[in-house]
Amino acid sequence: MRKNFSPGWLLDCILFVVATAGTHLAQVADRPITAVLVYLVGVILIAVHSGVYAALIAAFAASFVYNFLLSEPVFEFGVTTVDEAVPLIAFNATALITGTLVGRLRDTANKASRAQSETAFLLTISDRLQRAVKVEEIETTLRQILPTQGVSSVHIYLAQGDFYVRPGSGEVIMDRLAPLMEGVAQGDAEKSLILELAGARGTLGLARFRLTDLIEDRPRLPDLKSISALIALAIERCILLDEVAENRAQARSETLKDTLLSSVSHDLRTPITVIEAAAGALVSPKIRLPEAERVTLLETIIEQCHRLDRYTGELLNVGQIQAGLTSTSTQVVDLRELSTLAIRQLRTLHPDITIERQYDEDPVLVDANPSLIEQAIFNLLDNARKYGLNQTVSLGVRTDGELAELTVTDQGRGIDDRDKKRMFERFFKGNHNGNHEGSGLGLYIAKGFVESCGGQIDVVSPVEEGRGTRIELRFPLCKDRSHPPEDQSR
Amino acid sequence: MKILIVDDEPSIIRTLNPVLTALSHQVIEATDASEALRAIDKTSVDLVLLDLGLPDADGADLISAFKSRAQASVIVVSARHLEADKVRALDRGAEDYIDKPFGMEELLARIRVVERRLNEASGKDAAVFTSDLLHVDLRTRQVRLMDEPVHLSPKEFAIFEALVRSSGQVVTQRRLMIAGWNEPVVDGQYLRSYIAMLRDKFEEDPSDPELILTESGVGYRLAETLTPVG
Repeated sequence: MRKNFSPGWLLDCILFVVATAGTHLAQVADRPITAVLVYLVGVILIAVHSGVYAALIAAFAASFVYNFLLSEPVFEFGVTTVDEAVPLIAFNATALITGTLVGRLRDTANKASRAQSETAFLLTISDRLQRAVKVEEIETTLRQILPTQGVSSVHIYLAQGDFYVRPGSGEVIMDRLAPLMEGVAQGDAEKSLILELAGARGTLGLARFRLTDLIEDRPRLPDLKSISALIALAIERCILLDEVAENRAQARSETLKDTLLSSVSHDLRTPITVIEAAAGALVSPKIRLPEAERVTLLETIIEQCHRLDRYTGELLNVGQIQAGLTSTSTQVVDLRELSTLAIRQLRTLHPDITIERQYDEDPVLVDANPSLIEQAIFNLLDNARKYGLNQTVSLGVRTDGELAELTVTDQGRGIDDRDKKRMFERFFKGNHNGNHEGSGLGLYIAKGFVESCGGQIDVVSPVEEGRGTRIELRFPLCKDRSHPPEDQSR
Repeated sequence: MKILIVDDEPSIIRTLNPVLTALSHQVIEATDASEALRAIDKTSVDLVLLDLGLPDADGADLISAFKSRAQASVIVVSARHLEADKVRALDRGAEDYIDKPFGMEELLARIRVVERRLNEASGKDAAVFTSDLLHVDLRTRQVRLMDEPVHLSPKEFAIFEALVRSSGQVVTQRRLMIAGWNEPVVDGQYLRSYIAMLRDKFEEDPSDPELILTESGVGYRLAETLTPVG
């Protein structure tokens, strides 16, 4: 129903005038049947265009105009003959029938389009809600979408045992009536709608919708029951995601525990086993060993004691790193000097190793804890020795712009991409290490020590032609403050 | 005896090799599973000392190969001390196990049990087992401890017989349950009660057993080694 004089009414009037003119022409041409039919077509068109009321007005007007102005006797209104009654009845009956039919059709079409837009809206909500990975994101998403639909806010209450928990804040609500009472407290209980969130495994909680108007004033509310079902689905999904993440974390920690157990049992028990067995053989009166074998066993015992000592040191280093090692006793040191110390330390254990040094001529100074960095360099060299297939290991120390750079390069088989991601993890051992020596802690310790001194550690592998691995350390360069500037006058 | 040592730790092999050689055993070395399998293909082996934690395979998976392809006895050497690992290895046919670290004397004793069993190939069909302490006749079901007869109920005897047949070696709970109840899974409490009854009859101090020893989480071991007769 249109209250104003709008283009719709204008069109109806034009239609009426045109029909009247047509009827008049037909009447003049002495074709009364055509005249009536033209008016009828006019009424039908108005009914189609504007519905039953407009059609009835048009029908009355048409009856009057036809009877009074067009049909004989002109300027006289009277329904005395059947011929005069027929157009009146025909116009009004046509207007009523056509108008009603059109109205129904239009209602159905309107309903269909409303249903379609509701479905589209639910689909949008569903789509947005399914993207949420945390329950608090569900509320945020709803607050962005629902206000356009006459819902000013949504509050979700998750059921946990006998009380509710608000997602996000984690606020615990002990009183089961609280969601209802909150609406009362805010004085808008009649604008609140509380719906249960039913999940597959039982009630998940409640959703309280606050409407912008009173419920009775809203002829078209979004389908809140369906929305509640979608919310429940999204919450369940979030809970499942949480459980999956928890299970993964659990599995990871189990794997680490497992690695720790097997690594410690292997690396501690092996030397102890060797020492106990060797000492047992030496002390047993039943076992008569040649002198040379006795010496070998004694040497083995000493060697395994060193191994135990090294491993204990490594475990202590790991402990330091895990406790959040921060390098306090730093000083300006020359990386070349620390490298030379590390090489000397390695040579006492492995005299046969060949190390090629490529040092800058000038000092390469960094501000770091010298013993940590020396240990890190030693670990890198020892690692290159283990994986380097007994080839020459290169050690480079140079200045690169604002950075001090130290590289250790071996000529081994290289590391594949999967191992590259894991090589700095605790207890990680590459599977191409022929002699299975080592605890899998060396690179982890090197990384921890270097980073605690503000440095960075990277790996490049293969270096060239599918072979070799290069570990690169970078530290902020320290300006040389130990020597006074050179005298320019000389 | 020809002994194959399978261990990824060269230092363990370096220590065991001279000792076993000095005791006139012939030692073959392998540091991983593939080397071990190549070794048994090339030569006959009587005993394998098998470390379970090998770099290229789970040691337990090799046991059936050692048994079927080389008819070798297997003593498992384990660093992880996990009961489940040991039970699995024993169920797959290993004769015995020893935890790292081990005393040399203890290892040699275990090896001697295997060696003795090997020399008594006829022992499998034997009906009489004897030692200084015990005399067991499986046909007449007579048991004598220090020459004194010991009376056992049929179930006690069945369990005791399983221990006697593997005297000196560990027998898993599963095997004892099969011996006593013909099924591998019965309430562990039953087995414990019968072991307690056997200890009452054989041990001087049942609370501190010296003959029927508990291998925690794995099974039981008859400490006395008996020799089959006839």
